[in-house]
Parts: sequence; C-alpha cells; structure tokens
Amino acid sequence: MPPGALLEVRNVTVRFGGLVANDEINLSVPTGGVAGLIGPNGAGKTTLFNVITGAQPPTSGSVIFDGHDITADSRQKRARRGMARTFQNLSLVLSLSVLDNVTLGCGRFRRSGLMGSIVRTPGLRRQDRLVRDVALGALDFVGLLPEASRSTADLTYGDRRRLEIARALALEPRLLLLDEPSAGMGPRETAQLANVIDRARTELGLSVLLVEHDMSFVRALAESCTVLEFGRVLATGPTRAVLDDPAVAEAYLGKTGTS
Amino acid sequence: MTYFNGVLVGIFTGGAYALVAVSITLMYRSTGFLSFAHAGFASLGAYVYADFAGPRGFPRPLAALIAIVVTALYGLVTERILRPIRNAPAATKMIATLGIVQLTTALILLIYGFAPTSAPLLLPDQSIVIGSLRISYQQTAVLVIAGATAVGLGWFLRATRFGTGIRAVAGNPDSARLMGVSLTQVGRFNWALGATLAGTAGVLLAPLSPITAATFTLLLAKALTATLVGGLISLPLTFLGGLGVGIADSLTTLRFSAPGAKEVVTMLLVVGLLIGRRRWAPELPPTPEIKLQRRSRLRDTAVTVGQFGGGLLRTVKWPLIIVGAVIAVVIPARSGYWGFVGARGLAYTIQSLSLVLLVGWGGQVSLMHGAYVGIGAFTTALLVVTHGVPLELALLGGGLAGVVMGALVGLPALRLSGLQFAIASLTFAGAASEFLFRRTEFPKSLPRGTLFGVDIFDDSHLYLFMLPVTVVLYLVVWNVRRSTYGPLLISARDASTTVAHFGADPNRTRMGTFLLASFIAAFGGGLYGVLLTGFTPFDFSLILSIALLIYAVVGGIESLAGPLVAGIAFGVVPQLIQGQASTTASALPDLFAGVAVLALLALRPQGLASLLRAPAPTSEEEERAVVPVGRFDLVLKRWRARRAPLGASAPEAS
Repeated sequence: MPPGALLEVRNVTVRFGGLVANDEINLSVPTGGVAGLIGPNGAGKTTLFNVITGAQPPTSGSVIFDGHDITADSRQKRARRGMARTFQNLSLVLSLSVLDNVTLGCGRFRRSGLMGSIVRTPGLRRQDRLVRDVALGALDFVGLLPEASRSTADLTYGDRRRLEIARALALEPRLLLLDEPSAGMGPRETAQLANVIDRARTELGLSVLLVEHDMSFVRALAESCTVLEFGRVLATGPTRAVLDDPAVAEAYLGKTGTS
Repeated sequence: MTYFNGVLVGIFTGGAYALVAVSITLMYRSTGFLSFAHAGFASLGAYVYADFAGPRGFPRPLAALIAIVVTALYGLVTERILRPIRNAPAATKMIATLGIVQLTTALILLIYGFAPTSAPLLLPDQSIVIGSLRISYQQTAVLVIAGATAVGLGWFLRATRFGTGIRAVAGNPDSARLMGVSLTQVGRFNWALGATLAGTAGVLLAPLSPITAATFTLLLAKALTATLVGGLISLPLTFLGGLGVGIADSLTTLRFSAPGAKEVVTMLLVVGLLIGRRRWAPELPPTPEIKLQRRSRLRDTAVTVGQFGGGLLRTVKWPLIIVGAVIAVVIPARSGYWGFVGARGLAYTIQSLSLVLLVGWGGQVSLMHGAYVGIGAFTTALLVVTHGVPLELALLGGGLAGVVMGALVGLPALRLSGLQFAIASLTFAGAASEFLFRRTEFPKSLPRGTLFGVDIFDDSHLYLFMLPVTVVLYLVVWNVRRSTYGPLLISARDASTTVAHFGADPNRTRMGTFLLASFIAAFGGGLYGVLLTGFTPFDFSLILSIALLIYAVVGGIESLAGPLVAGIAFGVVPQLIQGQASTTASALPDLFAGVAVLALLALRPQGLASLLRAPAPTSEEEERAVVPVGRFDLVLKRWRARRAPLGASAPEAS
C-alpha cells in the first residue's frame, strides 16, 4: 500500500458472463486528496464505483480502506467505516423534506430507535437532536440551509445534486465517493459544486474519489487521475500529466471533446 | 380414496384456480394491475346465475349466458373506472382493484342479502368415470375451459397483431403507444376477458357448494398463489400452478381433517414460492402519461366542492376540534347506544392507525388486518375465559400474540415487495380465518368484566376506556413519525438500497415498524372483541381485512388525521345516517367505502384527511423552518476535533 493512501483498489476484475467490465484495475485515493476516475462511456467506471461502494462484488481482487480489507463488507459496514457516496441518477426521497433527506445520511449514528422513539427517551431525543444538527450543518455547508424545510420535489436539479452531497457529508465520512456529480449541470452550478467539493477537502479534511465525465472539472479538482478504457487502466498519475498524455487525448478527448 | 384419486380430484379443483390465475397474470403483464377484482367478478357471476336459474326460473343455459354477459359488461365498467389511475404506482392500482372488490361485495350484499345462497347445476348431473372416481360434468367443464383458455391465449398473444400489441404494452407502454397501440383498447380487452373468465368460473362453481360473499376471496387467494408459480409472467406455468394448488388442496383434505387445513397449506406454498423463486415480473414503473386532458365538468365540480368543503373545515378548525372533542366525550358517555357506536369508530381508528404505519409509511400493503383483529380478540378471550387472566393483562397478551404472528409472517415477508407481500398476507388471512379461528380451543365469546376496577359492562364505560387508549396509541405513532426514525422509515420504503448505503439497515427498520403495527392491530382487536362480546370466525374473514384497508385508504393512508377520519366516516357516520332504528347489519358503509376509494384514488390519493390540510406549510414544517441557524460552527468544530489526527482510524460511531 503506498504511504498515505486511504482507499486502495487492488487488481479488481469484474466479469459479466463473457464481458470483462474491469480488468485488473489498480487505483488509490490519497488521504486528504482528490482522485479522479475518468473514461469514455462503457469504460467500466460505474462498475468500479459499484465495487468500491459494495453494490457489486468483484470477480477477483480486493478493496482496501484505511488498512482494512473491505471487499466482502456489506454496504452498511462500509458506511460505518466512513465511506459516503452520491448517486449518478440521484436517489433522493422526493416525498420527504430536504432536511429529512439529509438525516437519512446519519444512519451510522443511529442506535436502535423505534422503541426509544415511541416513548421519547431522553437519550433518543438527544440523538435526534444531534442527527438534525449534523444534517443542518451539512446543509449549511453546501449552501442549502434556507431550503431545509422545503419539499425535496421543489428543488432544482442542481440543488438536488448538492443535496446528495449534503446527505453524504452528514455521514461524517472520511472518504467521499462522487458518481458523476456534475452530470447535466450548467456552468454556474458546476462551479458552485466544485467549490463545495474543494471545501470538503480543505475544511473538512475529506478524501474524495471523483468519477467524472467533465474533463475540466477533474482538471480543476483532482491531483491524481486514472483513465479507464475498455475496462483497463489506460493511464494513471498526476492529473496534468495524465490528461496531457496523447494516448488519453486520443482515446477520450478525441472522441468526446471537452464539454 | 387413494392418493392417485386425490391428485385427480385436485387437478379438477385446480381448473378453476388456473382459469382465474391465467387471466390475472395476463392482466398484470399488460396493464400492470395486480387484480383482486376477479374475486368480485366471480361473485357477481355466481350470484346472478344463482338468481336467474333459481328464483327467477330462467332456463339454466340462458341464466348462465346472462350471468356471463352481465359480468363482462361489469368488467368494461371497471376498466372505465380504473382508467384514470392506469399510470399510478403498482400499489395504488392494486388497492383500486380492492376497491372494486369492496364495491362489488357491497352491491351483492345489498341486492342479495347476507345469507349463503346456492344454485342449480348448469350441466346435466352426470359424471365421467375414471377408475373408481366420478367427476361431474360441471367440474370437467371448468378444467376444459381453463385449459382451452391458457392455450388459446398463448396462441393469441403470439400469432395475432393485437396480441403483439398487448405484449408490447407489457414491455414498454410509452413506446407501444407511440407505435399506435391503444392502451385503452388493451385495457378494455383485458378487463372484459378477465371478467368473463372469472364470471364463468363463478357460474360453474356456484352450484358445487353454498356461496357467500367471502367464498370467492378464498378462490382469489388460490389463484394468486398459482400466479406466483408463473412469476406473473408465464401463462403455461401459471396454468400448471393452478392445477398444483388444486392438488395440494385435495391431498391436504385427504390427509388432514381439520377445517381450513388446505388454506394453511396454500399459505405455506406462497411463503415457499416467494422465498424460493427469484424470477419475478418487474413492476411496471409508474409512467406519467402525457395526455391531452379533456375538461371534465364532473371532475372539476368534485374538486371544487372538495376544496370548498376543506377550506370551510379549515376555517372553523379549532372551534370544530373543541366542539368535536366535547361531543366525543359527552354524548357517548350519556348514551349506551352512542357509546357502542363510538367504541366501534375507535376500533376502526386503531386499525387504521396500524395500517398507516404499515402501509402508508412502511409501504407494505397488508391484507391481513382482519386476521390481526381476530388474533387479538380470540387470544384475549382465551386468556380471560379459559385461563382466568385479568382482562387488562389479557388485552396485552392479545397484542403480544399479534407481535408473535407478525414475527412469524413478517420475517419471510421482509424479502418481499409490496405486491408480493399483499398476496402473502392475503393467504395468511385466509389461513387464519379458515383454520386458526375455527380451532375449538378458542372461546367464541368474551364476557365483559372490569378494567382497572371500572365496570365496563356498559358500552359507555368501555368507550370512555378506549378513548384515552386510542389517544396513547396515536401518540405512539406520532412519536415515530416526528423522530428521525420517521424519515428513515419512509426512505426504507422508497429507496431501500440508498438507506443501506448510509449505514442503516432497511430491513430492521421495516421489521420494527411491522411488529409495532402488529401489536397495535392485535391489541385493538382485543378491544374490538371486548366490544363485540360474542364473535365467530366469519367476523374476521378476508372481507374484514379488505374493508379495513379500504377504510384506512379513504381516511388517508399517509396522514395522522386519516385514522380519525376513517373511524368517524365508517364507524359513526353510517349510524348517523341510518338512525338508531336500524339494527340490522348493512352494506351501505362498504358501498360508500368502495365508491369513495375509487374516486379518491383518481382525484386525491392522499385521502379525505388531506382536505383538512392547508396548502401552506404545516405547523410542523414551520417549526422546523425557524430552527436557529448558526449551529454549523459548532458542528464543524466537533467534526474537526474528531478528524484532527488525519489518517488515524476514526471512531466507528458517535
């Protein structure tokens, strides 16, 4: 394990029948740093992301988080270790308020709950208060505090993206896993989002894995970067060097261009 | 009778199940309605046939024809009624078909009364002989029609243009529409066909045994079990499943003499199938339909009247609440009659409360609340009458018995989606009312004694005891909703994998709620038993389960005011309308419930209670909005303090 790596993916291979979605992939996210993961459509980014978050067991290989092998851990266990994620297709509960959606992120601070909630024990009330405080803090951090009591369905698309990040922050994670956070957003919203991610690192000391399509977004945020193509690692290293690599430009930029 | 003969008899019994099951599967595939309405269609066919062939003296074939035509037309009416919600979520659609059952049952009870009826045989009273076994023409006809239907439909779907259209709708409704397939036509075809087939089953089955309103809900439970064999996809497998359920029935009857044993076997079959079978037709996602809405004066008027009424109620909210509270305490306290009516209303409120928790927030559509009520009532009676336990403790015991039942049913049920759970709970309710409650160990009465030293022989006294109990239960449910457990529960319903990704356990969350709802329902059932004093297994049949769910949905399945509305609307208002003179059981409340649920699902899915809520933020939300800002510094500090040694392992939980 390279010194200072919080997350390490070692030789991960995922096969779906005859299709090799990930082939012997290695990747690491340094503690306190932002790592980018890019690649054209179908390169295997989402599969790798799912392996890291526990939604997809790898065919072989392992995932190390903070020195522990978490390859076989459940999603819940990964969350309790301090990994938080967002969803590419947004997974917010629209029938709940903005604040309630964020309290969902505090799952790992909740002990039992039901019996305590019924009789409203002091401990449970304290826990509820703590959960709401943390959630409000997270909302403030992404700039959504004024919307706390609104219905989630009323939020704009960009606000929903930030709400997803707030929910992930409410987990008080050590590693933030972002699945195409800037997808479908305009330049102003993207800048706002970049600011939030940057502050999450500098102010909260989080490590971030950024799965992205938008090259400029990655260029601005990530120190290191890994490029996937056809399920293999095409290039990896410091962002600038990787993105200026002619092979990457051909495989990636040449086809889709910078958006 | 040998086992071989048992299997043969089973195949012929299973024909009816297969017939209904095939049409349910087809309907689910092409319209996304998991139809319980087939029970209503079969009932209608049976009753109309019995009426025309019996008292009216029509020739039997003509009577059968009339019955089937009436049912088919009724199916078309059903399609029209359900058309507005054909793009709603699957659970809503299923509840709407329950509304059809409710409506049909109420209509039948209104016209034909509560007494069981029987019908003359349609076909000549002759039998075909297989070995030592005689199978009547009537039963043979059921099997032949079922087989022909399954084969015919299979061919029709594959070989004809319209059949291809139906399959296209099943796969992707939007694309199918764009390609010129009319959803309305596919719907009409399905409902007419489903009604015809179920009606035919009703006509053919009616003469074989006396029929009641509940007969065909049991048939439905069997048919739904058969659809599980086909995974709601395959017609041939569904057909075989129907025969299989029939064989299971017949062999069980051969082996066990206890009444209702075959219902228990059906339930076990369902549990096994749901756990063992992974492949399952995907629920069609609700697709918001882009439609050029024609102005409908009827709908506009209904909405306007509703909003006006709601506005009026909101204006006088507090005076109304105060007056209502005074009336709720004073009048039932002074009159035994209103004491009884009020207590019944409270009993409905308690059940609705449990359903709000389970269905509204937990997202599991339960068709077994009648069984919970029964378990509560019978356990309480057993403890009091047989074991001499004081009533206070016996009521608690009843509630705990509900929890035990909930755990037995709930543990396997947690793996299920809403629709699957509905089917499982239906078969469970069938097994409970046909088998469990018929056990002779259970006393059929619950004499009233004293509660905490107060004589509750008087209905008024019982009411005055139930009122604070209901308030406490309300508080319990409200506390769940307003704590952070509430959002967690609703998230576990709407986005369970997301909940898992954030470190909470969606299954444990749902299990906890499920057990709490079980306790409330069974405890309320104990109180209902005390209120009724004497009861029979039929009091807790599937009909009650369906009615309770419909009541709760009409009241408002996701709102706390809903149960109160349901209790008043179905426990008290019917008595206000009918007056004290009428003491006979009436189907009118159920008729109203059926109509109301269908109208509400189309116009106002949040239920009657939502009319009371102003469009502005509720008081709870306002309270949240003024939460002092600026705690963030505090949180941030705490965060940083914890994260100070970067790279060191963070504490697992706070």
